[in-house]
Amino acid sequence: MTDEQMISLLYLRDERALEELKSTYGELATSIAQRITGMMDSAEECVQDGLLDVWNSIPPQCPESLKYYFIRLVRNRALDSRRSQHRMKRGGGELPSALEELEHDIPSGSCVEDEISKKLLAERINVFLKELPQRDRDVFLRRYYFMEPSASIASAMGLKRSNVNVILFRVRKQLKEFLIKEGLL
Amino acid sequence: MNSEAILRSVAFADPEYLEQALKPQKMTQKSKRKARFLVPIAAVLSLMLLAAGVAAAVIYGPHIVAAKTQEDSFDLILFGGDAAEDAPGYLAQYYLPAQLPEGSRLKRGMVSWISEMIWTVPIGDTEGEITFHQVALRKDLEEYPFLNWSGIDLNDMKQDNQKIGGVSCWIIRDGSFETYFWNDPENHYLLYASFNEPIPQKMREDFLNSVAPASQTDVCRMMDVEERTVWYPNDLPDRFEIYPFALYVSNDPSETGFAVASDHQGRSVTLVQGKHLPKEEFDRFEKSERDIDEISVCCYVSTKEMDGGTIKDEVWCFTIDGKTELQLDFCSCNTDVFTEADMIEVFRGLAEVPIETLDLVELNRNK
Repeated sequence: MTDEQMISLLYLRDERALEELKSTYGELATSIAQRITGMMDSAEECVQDGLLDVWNSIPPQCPESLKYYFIRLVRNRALDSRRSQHRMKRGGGELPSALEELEHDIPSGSCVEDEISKKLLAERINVFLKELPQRDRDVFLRRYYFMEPSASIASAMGLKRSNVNVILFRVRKQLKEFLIKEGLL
Repeated sequence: MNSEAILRSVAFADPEYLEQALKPQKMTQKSKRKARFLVPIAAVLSLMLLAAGVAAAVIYGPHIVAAKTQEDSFDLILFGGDAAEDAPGYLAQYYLPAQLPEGSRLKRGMVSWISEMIWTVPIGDTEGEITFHQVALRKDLEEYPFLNWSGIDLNDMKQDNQKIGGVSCWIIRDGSFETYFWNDPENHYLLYASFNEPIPQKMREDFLNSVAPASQTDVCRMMDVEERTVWYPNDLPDRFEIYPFALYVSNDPSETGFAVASDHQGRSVTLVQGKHLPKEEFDRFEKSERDIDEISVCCYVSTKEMDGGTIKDEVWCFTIDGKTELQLDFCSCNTDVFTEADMIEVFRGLAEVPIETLDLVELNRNK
């Protein structure tokens, strides 16, 4: 079933849409969630919550890509879950590393929570991504969107792990400069 | 703007980019070939070693690090450590200057790799001691012309068979002392120190006593550390210019990397750092779990057991700073033989000047 068909079902409030969504993209979403939370059961819960979020938001939302809309919701759930976990104990997963990497090269200022800033950041991130060479962009997204570990990225892209780390280092630096230039940092 | 906000915002990436990122990607044969920078270093090294009359029973290899600024221009390239003596650095110093066209932006300098010594001192609050090892331990270097500049009698230097490795760039700047070096005996690939305060007097005295024993102070001089100076032998050939600059490194032993530094006049400086890396170390290096931020390619060549001049088990590696825009993204390190064309490509990338030919053997013969 295509994304458009699933969206149509959602608009019709047909729960088959969620079944289809889960069977089509559930595995990818779960793996990303697991990398963030470090725990499978937590990841599955995030996927379930993500499905619920899809149900509750479509309609009126009509995303261009249901796949990545869904994954975004799952990621957010996973990040929220991780934040709660962190308050209690440290877990595994790729999130600590990813956060540390970003934190190291793009130090935090104030925690930006307001919607406008988030939206602006999201827009600018895409501008930034557009300017990157494809390989660098792919590596960056694999790491910070799909939360893949460096070794996995290296293997998938036919690179050495050290090469992947260098690319990430370089792109983070570029992102920092970009965010500063945009007045977002 | 915290890092989590960035992670959440990445979620809004264009789906087309996301799809693209997930597509299987493997190097093509063409790019693998292009990435394979192979020079007949083994041949050059073997000639050098044979000329030196050394039967190298030790596995070693040059480990060259090159960096390039993001602006794609070079105001200065400095060759430090083993890069200053080994074939690529050697060639870059002797060949490139002769071949550079008029008005080339490339300049070259050599920081004092020859200041090797054994010097163990505590460094401020950093953990443990930092030891600089003597290149003098490697007797094959005695025949290198560079060593003559130092005026240091290698036979008088301390011997320590437990330690191998070399000292890299020594830069003294504004009274502080920053350096970068390799520390082998502890099986750490990289251990370096950054001093942000003026050199303690005792340290300076130790340094001078180690480097320039009383009998040799007339040939080795260290300029006033209060000024922006670099320590170098007083008979350095004129074509080599030393620029004071800061090499930014970290005193965190868990970090690695080479920094592209800027000098005080706003020029960019590129550091080509060399280190002989035994194969077993290289293997560990490759398998190291640590993140190595600054190195995108690792190249290394090993000459093993000189057997009538036959080089066995050649592995060539070339390490490049992470900021490089060169196409040298990766290198196959399995008994390939470098070609002159590859070497030309390397220096073309570094120097951005047209270098059409490179006669390695001829150059060596001349030296």
